[in-house]
Amino acid sequence: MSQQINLVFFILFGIAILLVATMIGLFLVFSRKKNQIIEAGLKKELELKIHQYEVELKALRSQMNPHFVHNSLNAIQYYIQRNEVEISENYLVKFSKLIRLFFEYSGKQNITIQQEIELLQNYLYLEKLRFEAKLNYEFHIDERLDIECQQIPSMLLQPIVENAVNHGIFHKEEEGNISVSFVYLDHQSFVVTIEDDGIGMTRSKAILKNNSNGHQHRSSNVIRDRIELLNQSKSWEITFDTHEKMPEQGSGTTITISFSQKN
Amino acid sequence: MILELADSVRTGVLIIAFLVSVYYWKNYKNSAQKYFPFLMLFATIVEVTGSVRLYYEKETSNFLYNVYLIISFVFLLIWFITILKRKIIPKILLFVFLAATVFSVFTESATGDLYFYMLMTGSVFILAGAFLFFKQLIETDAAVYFIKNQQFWIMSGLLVFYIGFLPFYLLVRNLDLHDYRIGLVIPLLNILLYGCFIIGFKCPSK
Repeated sequence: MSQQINLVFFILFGIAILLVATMIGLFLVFSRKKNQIIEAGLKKELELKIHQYEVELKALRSQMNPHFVHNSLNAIQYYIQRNEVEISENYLVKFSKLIRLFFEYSGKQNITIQQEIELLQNYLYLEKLRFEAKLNYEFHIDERLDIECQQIPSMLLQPIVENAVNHGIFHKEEEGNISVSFVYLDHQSFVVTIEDDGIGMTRSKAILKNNSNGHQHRSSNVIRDRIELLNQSKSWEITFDTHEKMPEQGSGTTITISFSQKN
Repeated sequence: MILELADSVRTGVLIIAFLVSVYYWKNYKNSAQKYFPFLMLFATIVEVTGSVRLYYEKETSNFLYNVYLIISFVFLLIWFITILKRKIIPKILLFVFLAATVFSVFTESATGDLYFYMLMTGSVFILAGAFLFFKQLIETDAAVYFIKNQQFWIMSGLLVFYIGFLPFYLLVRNLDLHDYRIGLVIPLLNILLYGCFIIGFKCPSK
């Protein structure tokens, strides 16, 4: 009788141990795996963040194009030498404001469309002082856009406009025009079109090849890298399209970027 | 007295599991678990019928339990085929189980006891299927949300039940034991099984 009680106790105890061990084992294995996956995810996120900072730094460097700074200072010097104090003073004020905006906005992920427009206008104003009558520009802003509230990734458009000036208009003999349009799609989406009637990408690339200046190539890569990162971040859905006019349509390049902000 | 209480609790938990499976069915009606309320209803009918017969007629309903076991094992093995990525192994398990069932039907009495070969192959194959499922789940990122995974809880219930049931049944079958506490094991395992099912049915299907 006592032996049977021992056996029953052994069976019940054994089954209980088996069940508890199974449940604990199962939860331990899955919890460990969960932690590994979370750790790997965090590591990946960190790497993405580092990459993002690197790209942003590159973007900042490409925006602070030394040629642009050099050309602007040369132009200021030119006006000072000609004793055109008012123009040179005006130039200097705009230049310092632009530099300040560069530094202010480069630290932000997003800025308002109004701020982006202000930056582009400042930049084009300076370029116009340098190019004088050879450069004309205009902005078209859809009235439905709430430019004071609607966000845009900071300083993404400036390098594109700079390419249009330096590689589209610069090599053109006649005067050139740049048009920047912001078109409303819905409360979270809009399209920006940057159009120039310069020499076009094909001829510009041929000239660049001879001059061995890699800045355009570098800044195009930076733009594409930034768009890719922004799409990966899931906060934006951005498409980028480049179109060169056919010879019978004249010459020039149209860049179309659609922005859709995600929640 | 304590055995009757354990049986009543087991039946109660089973009925709750059935009701929960029906209540939350809209959450998983498009998943592989969509037919589970039928299994729970069938289990409830068999359990209640078996208890009533035992109480009023003092007879065990082994024929009914054998039919229930065959249907539930086939159901679970087909479910394994649906949810496992590598279909070939659960298909082989189902085929071997059906062969073992046919063997049991022709060599064992349907009313005398539970079909031994059918029960053993079914139990071992459920454990094998659970192992394959956990291996598959742990290899994916879905393992992060295992606590909210419906299939994880159903499989955990099956694993806990059969890992306890299998050695217990083999020991008790081969030993002549007369202790009422032995009768507590199956109801307690059932309570754990249906408890896990209840948690599973409340989880989102994906």
